[in-house]
Amino acid sequence: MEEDTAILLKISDLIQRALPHTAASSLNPSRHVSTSKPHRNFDNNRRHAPSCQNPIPETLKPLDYKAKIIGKLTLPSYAVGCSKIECSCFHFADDSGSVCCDILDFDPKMIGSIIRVLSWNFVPSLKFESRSGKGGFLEIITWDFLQSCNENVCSFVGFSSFCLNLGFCKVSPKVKYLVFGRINSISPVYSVPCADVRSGSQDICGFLVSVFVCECKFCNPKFFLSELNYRCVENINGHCFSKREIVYFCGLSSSLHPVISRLIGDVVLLTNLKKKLVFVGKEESVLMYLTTNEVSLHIPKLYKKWRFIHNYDTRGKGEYRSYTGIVTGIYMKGMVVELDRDVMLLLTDQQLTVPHSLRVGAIVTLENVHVVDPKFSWGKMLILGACCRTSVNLKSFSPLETGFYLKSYSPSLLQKFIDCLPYSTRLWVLLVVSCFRKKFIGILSEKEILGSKHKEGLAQIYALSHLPLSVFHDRHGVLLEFCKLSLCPVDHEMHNQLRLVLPIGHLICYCEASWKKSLGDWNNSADFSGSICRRKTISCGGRFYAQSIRKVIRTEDIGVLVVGSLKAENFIIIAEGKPEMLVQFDLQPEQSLSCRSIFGNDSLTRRMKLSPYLYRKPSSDDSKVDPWSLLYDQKRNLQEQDYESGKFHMLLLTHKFPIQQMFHLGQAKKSALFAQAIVLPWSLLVAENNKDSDVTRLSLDHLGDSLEKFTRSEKVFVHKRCKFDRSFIDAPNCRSSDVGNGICGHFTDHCSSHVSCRTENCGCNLNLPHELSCLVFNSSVNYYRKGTLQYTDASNKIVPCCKPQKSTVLLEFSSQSFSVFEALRIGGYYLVKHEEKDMICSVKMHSQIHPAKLSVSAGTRFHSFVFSSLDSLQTSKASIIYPFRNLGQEQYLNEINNGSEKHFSSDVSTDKACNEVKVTRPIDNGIGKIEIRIIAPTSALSLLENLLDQLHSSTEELDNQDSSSTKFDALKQSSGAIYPDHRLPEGDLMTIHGLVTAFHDSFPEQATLVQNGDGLPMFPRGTGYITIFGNLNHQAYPIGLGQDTYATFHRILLLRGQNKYMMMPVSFITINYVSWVNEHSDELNSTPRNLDLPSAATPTLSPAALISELLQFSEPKPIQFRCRVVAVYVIVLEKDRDIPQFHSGVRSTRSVEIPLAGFVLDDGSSSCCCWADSEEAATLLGLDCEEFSDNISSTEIVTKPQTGPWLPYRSTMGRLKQILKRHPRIVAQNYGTMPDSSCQDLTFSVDSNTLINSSDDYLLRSLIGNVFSKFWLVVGNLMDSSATKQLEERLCELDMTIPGLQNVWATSVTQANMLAEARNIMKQIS
Amino acid sequence: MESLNYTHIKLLAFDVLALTPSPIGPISFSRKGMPVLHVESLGIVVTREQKPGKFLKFTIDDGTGCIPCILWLNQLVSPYFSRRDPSAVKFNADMAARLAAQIHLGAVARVCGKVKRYRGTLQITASNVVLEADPNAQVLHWLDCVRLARNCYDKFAKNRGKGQILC
Repeated sequence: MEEDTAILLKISDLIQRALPHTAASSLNPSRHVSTSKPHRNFDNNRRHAPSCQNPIPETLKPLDYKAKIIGKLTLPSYAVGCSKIECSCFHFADDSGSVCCDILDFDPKMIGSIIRVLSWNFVPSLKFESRSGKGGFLEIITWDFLQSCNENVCSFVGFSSFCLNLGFCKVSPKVKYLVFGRINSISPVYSVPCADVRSGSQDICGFLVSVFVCECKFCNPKFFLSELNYRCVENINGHCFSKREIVYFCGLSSSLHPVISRLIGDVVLLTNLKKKLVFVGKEESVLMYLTTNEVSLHIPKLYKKWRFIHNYDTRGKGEYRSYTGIVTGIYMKGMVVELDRDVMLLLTDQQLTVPHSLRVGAIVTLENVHVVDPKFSWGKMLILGACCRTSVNLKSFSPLETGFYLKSYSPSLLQKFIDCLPYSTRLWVLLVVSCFRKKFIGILSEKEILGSKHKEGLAQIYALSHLPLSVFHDRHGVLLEFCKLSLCPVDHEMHNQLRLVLPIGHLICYCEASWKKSLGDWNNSADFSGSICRRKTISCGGRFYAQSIRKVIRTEDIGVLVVGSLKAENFIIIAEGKPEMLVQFDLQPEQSLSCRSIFGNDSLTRRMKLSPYLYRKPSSDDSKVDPWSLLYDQKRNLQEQDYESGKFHMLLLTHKFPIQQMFHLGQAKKSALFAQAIVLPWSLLVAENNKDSDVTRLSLDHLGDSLEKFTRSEKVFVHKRCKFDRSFIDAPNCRSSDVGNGICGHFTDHCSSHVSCRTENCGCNLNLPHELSCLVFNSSVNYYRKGTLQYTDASNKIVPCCKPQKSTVLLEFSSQSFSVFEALRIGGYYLVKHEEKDMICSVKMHSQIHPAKLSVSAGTRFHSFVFSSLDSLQTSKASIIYPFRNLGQEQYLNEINNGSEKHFSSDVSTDKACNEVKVTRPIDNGIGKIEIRIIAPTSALSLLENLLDQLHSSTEELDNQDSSSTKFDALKQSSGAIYPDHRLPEGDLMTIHGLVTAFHDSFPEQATLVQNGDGLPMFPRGTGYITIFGNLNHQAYPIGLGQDTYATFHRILLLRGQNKYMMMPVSFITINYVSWVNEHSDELNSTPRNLDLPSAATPTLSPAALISELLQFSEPKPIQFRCRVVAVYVIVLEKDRDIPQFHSGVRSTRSVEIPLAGFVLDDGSSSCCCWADSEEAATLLGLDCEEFSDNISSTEIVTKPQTGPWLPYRSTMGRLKQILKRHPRIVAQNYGTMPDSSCQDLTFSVDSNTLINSSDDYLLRSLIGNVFSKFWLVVGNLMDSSATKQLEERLCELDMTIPGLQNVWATSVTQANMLAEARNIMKQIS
Repeated sequence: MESLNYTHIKLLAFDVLALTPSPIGPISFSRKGMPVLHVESLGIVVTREQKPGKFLKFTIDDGTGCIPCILWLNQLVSPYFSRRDPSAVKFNADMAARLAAQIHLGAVARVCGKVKRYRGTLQITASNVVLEADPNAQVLHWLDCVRLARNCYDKFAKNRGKGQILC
């Protein structure tokens, strides 16, 4: 006898307890919970047990005693004038209070009756307060009638099993209309403004019901009532409920919403209706039924159990379905409900009212929901889009202790924005919002991210920029959208374009899981394929070391974007680690990309110590877009103004020091960032933007005219000024370096000011112009301005020497200016805005302070600049105007770069920023992108160039004077002389560039060389190998340093007396190029990559053959053969003549010309002489790689220290260009026996009267020595008699004859891929 | 026939070691009647003996045999080089020294040079040594040797008897 022992609880008791609980102990276990299967069922294995957000919710605590609640179930009421509909729940009330409730086993008869609730869930909420009560929500599981209060007398007793009305059931003679049909859909309760003559304008609540009626004569309203009593089982099947009628429940009858919503699919009879023509739009009207206060709802006995299921309304563009599933997550304030883990229900519409019982763990049935398969590239899912016809009914309450569903109202612009989108796009925007909140919540306020009622937030701005206007729908309100099916926001086909914006944490987890998965796949595969590139275990010093495994993840493949302080579209992600880092975890890569993980509050935890990094790939689009489009920088305008006009100092960055972590007393680590620079003795003055002045700002549209006007005057200016006084050059006491550099020249006319000086030391009479006019091109704002280069030495005095004064400064960057530090490049030239009494002025004034230290704050702007030749602009004017206008500024700049740019330093080039890729290179401050071009006449540039060379050479000379001891003070202090008991490393600091072929931990016996163990040998490779030791604890290594990266090691120590290199605390590594990123994206089916050079693709489809088979081809067609170079027959090197060169449609960046080169090739079957011109010859000599990888120096070639601690590295190409300055044409000829004569019989001849010195001779031999070590794929034609004759003539000019071999003209040269070649041979011989 | 004098014949160790002395001309060895002057072999360095400033003797093992090799380091003192360009000699000496430093046990070395006999044993006097980092270099060399032997060297020997020269 349960009733006797159960304690009666009051509603107020439940609210006061405020504890979620269940009275499920009184549940009848035999009770069957109806869970009608969805029309679109998933596989069983896709249905998971309810899994909830972190922390995992517990089940509701049961009361430890039997309890019951007795109360009355009532309909909700909507007050007149209520514009905000919170819910449309039933209310359960007793004498102590009232709460919203939902009933699992609903019976319409319980409405208005006093019932006894036998089992329930109660979920309290202090925040929740509805009209009927506050403090919680009651889920009624089982109940029974205690007393039926529904004493209405039904007018159709024989017909109706249930009758519900707001007063008495009667057939009003005035109201003749009734509707008998099946309820198809129901709208949410919404309010509409209603004009009332007496009370004025008021909001009135109501809802719409779509009812399908039968058009047979028995169902005709005229005869319906009279025929009611004759209806029997036999004739119910003859009806066809196919005609759609709309019934508008308004006013008091809107309280029937919870009842009607539970009768979807049931046949009902509605009486006492009016029929009215309702205007739903400006020109549209719908004839619909309106309820009166006497409306009665009847459920016919005969149709009670006869539900019409499988009713699909597929008219229009939308498709409605039903779906039943388990709620596995609720996100974004209830706008997204996750069902069965991979179905996303979107409840974004503001008008939707959803039962509070929609909790995680509940089983829910959705009626009339849109089903969308979004086909996102980043994840598979199904979207259920709820519209005004959708209704949500609970089939089982959640047993979990999760909060109940509470509709949130957000009348923000973002909400309106989302409501206008199709469903898949809505989900994408919600993901963007979620991601932005996670990413920027500590940086920006919630309002800045999400926006407000009147202002768009960052997330909306971002989403808007990625969506075409065509995806937006106009919203028409519930009335019109309910009546017109076609207005539902169905999807546009743009799913693949919507890339997932991923929080960094998720990205890292994805990388780890993806890397682990790939490794697992690889281990399970017997093949050598795989998207990972497994490294062999390398042997070093007799021990073996595992190499890291790198996985390249292309963001476009997985369909994600990474957005931070810069937005990264054209990036790849690299996950790299060693197999021993593999740990057990069950995270699948796709889980990181799931909506669940992005929406959820649980942060994914990293399991391994992989350090994925981003790598930006250059693309063709780079030249067409404003570089600023990469950035989110609201201070852009300020920056632009920053360098619009005024005075700027010019700096040459000579070194960057590794980041030091310093501890301050009791404080966290603080980074110390230092760099070293030379303050150039010029200042750049950029004219003010004054409309009244002559030439200031040149419009882009008038570039041509303005340039002509400017250059006309400059021609006179330059022509007259740049007469060179050779008499001073020929002065016997002048040093050769001064002569060569022409610094002793003077100008004779038109100089705005001159200063003469005679140096007693060298006897030079020096006339230097104080000012040089120039054009300043600002690439970010597309305009030219007139500028002046002003020589500003200490107190504007000319130093009494032929060399300019060199002021070296140490730049100290604050931790806030980390990105500035990162973006600066060694060897780059930078402009820094002059400020009153700034430190750089002081340095210029007091150059004897050496070195001075300057503090760089976050506000200090560095603008990279390069010099360009005005003459070259004139000569190629036609070609620059058009690309400039049509193809974009960056492309224009590139072409200027490649063709006519004057590189002031042969070693360093700042103007490659637009072409090159930098690993993890921040560009948020724009240093790497904003370029300023100082355009001056070529003659003036030569002068500047020579002066800059002086700065270089002075440094070099200083270093070379005492090459036996390093100039680095710290190292000197640690030499053995001071601490004789300690064997400290000694040697020369130098700069080395090469391809890193291995990077691994060290071993004890070699670690002794670096004193503290934990050495870090690396193997940069030119044509040979060297090993560089470092210390993981002491050195900072750039992200991405590893196998197959071209890196420059600045200021590393060549240990004296040993062929070993060592990283020092001052050593700095920059990554110039990563060779593996440009390879074919489908690495699964490709062969392991060529490790040597970036261009490893098979060049052509020419037939492969042996050299010995050349003569067998009857037609002179290109043949491909794999061979080695065994000798060089002749090479002609010339200085580039500043003429833009086109090779295969691409402008060459080469600045060294090779008009003719002959190499002896050998493939084992025979030998031939291969002739090539610039491009192919440069490839064989390795010069293309040198150029491409930032003017690098080869480790093979650099065999003696050539740089000091104060100088940026001197590359092979740089040195070659220096040699060619002295000797514009060099011919290397071979007079030896071919196979044995690699380099020993080469002789070098030059056109000038001077002899080539031993250092240059050595470098040239080293350069040529590059060609002998590699296998090449050469595509070439056997030269015919005509070509041979021409060749003979050219060789005759060099006093040479054609060698007695087959002669082939090379059309393409690439490095061979050994594995691919081996596979080819296998096919041939098997 | 002429072109093979300038060609490095790619041979496996067992083939190199089986070369027979040739009685005529500068070609001192032959393989199945085909004259062999220069060879190219590739293998793992298994022995190493260096006399600083004089030579480096090492042996490469390609799985079919071991070939003794010698790399001369005496360019700066040998009268053989005294008449040559000093800068060229200096460069070659440096290059040889650097190569010698890199040729360590376990390295995979591609050796190109002349075949000579020293104290009754064949050896390669290396003119160039390339250390291969790509493990596929060994496989490729084996396959090259097999293909060239089949398609070129063996045919040469066969046709030489008939008075025809194909290679």
